Amino acid sequence: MIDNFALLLTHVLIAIALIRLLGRADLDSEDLLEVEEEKVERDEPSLREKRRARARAEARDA
Amino acid sequence: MLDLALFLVVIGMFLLGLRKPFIWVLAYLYIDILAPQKIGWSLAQLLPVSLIAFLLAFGGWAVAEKKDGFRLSMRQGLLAALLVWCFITLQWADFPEAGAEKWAWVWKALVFAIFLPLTLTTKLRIEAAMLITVLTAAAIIISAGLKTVGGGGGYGNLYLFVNDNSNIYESSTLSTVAIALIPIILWFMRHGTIFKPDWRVKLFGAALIFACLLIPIGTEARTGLLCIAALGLMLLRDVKRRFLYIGAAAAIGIAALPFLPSTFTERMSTIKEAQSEQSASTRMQVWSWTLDYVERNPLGGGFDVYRGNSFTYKMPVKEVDGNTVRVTYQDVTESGRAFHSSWFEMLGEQGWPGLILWTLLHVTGLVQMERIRRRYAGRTGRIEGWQGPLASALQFANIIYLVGATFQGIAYQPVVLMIVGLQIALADHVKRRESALDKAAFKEVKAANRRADARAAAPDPAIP
Repeated sequence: MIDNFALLLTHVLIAIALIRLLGRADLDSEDLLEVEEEKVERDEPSLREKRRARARAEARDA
Repeated sequence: MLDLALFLVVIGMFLLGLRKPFIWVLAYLYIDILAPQKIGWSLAQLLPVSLIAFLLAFGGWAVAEKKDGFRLSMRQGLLAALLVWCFITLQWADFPEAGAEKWAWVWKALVFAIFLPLTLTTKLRIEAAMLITVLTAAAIIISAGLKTVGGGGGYGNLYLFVNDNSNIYESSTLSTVAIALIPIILWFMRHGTIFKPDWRVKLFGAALIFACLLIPIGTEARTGLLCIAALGLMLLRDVKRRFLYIGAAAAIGIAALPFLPSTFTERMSTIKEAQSEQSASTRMQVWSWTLDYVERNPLGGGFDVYRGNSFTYKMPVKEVDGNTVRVTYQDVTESGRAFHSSWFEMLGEQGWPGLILWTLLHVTGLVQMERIRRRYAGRTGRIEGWQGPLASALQFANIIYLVGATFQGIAYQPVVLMIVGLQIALADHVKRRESALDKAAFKEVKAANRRADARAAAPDPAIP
């Protein structure tokens, strides 16, 4: 009973895994050059950075 | 009924392999671990399924696979050297018949460990091989775990599907391998892609880990307890909230104590009194016999050389007579005792060259995994987030095995050799990807230089 349960459970999972593998193109070849998509959003500049940027702009205008 | 079902599973895998030959490699892993031909008793025995899977896996790779990235790593060389050396020592083996019997499965396990990384050319394949290994072992672990909960355990009493002590069907081996698989299960619960880590995967993973932890209790293998302790210590490295982890582990440990069967606590308490315990005394005797033996035969005595040992020693025997306990020393003679340690197994059977090769194989694995773990530490995401944790998991599995192997003769354990194969495959994958990225970056720099040269050579349009 216990044996059959353990066998059934794991074999169903193995079967699902094998079927999913058949549908995956990256099983046989993959793109090694793929890199993580970079995050585009940048953090809001801090108050100090804003102040410095403003000071630089004023110095340039003067 | 069960017989027919298992037979159909094997045939189904063989048929799926016609579409993707890599499935045959997975079929071999499955058959080697579970031995369905031994569970089923008629149909599956008509065919030598293990041999067929072995040949299909090799044939499929030789015929259908691209071999452009084909190269052998240093560790595969170590495995090959060990294989050749085992064959050489077999020629002067003290027990040629018993030795040949052991050689019959050892060469297969070693050859497959050398071969496995050649087939694991993509990340998905590495994952698939691990998943099939874990799920197949899970069949044995879940059933043993449930029986332990139901009270069917006991040293040498836990009934597994197959009771011939082959591969992981030996109770101490099973407890070591079950604990060694825990870090890999944890990896699947965070980084799996075949089964995306949703609540179902996490629930199954947690239940499976629980079952793994029950194996040393069910089999009453003391080595398993040491393996759990080693795992607990190592996990400290990777957990985020260390104090919470220590507290939780201690709480679970204490809460579990009342539920442990009394035979278990009795047996485990003998760990510390090695003197008065026969199993431990025998071990010490066998080990010192091995040291003597290699002094005379530094090149080893071939497989199963332990059959030649015999020793007499004094054992304290307690006699309880009313209120008095009398300890008398009696002579105990034993012969043909197994090594009970993979280090001594290698030393006795394969001599110093074998022990050095075997040690190098595992030490290089630990170092290699550490290097990958550090390189990828802190990286997250789908493409670079899995290597570091996987290296860590395979390293932990290796250390747990070495702890278990110190007290068991499991130097050529096939599942562990599969884990070695997975380590090699991971290291190779990381190396190939990095060299591809380097090449691409180099090409880009070259192209940019060429563009800059072309611009410099062109006449400046601003000057008429």
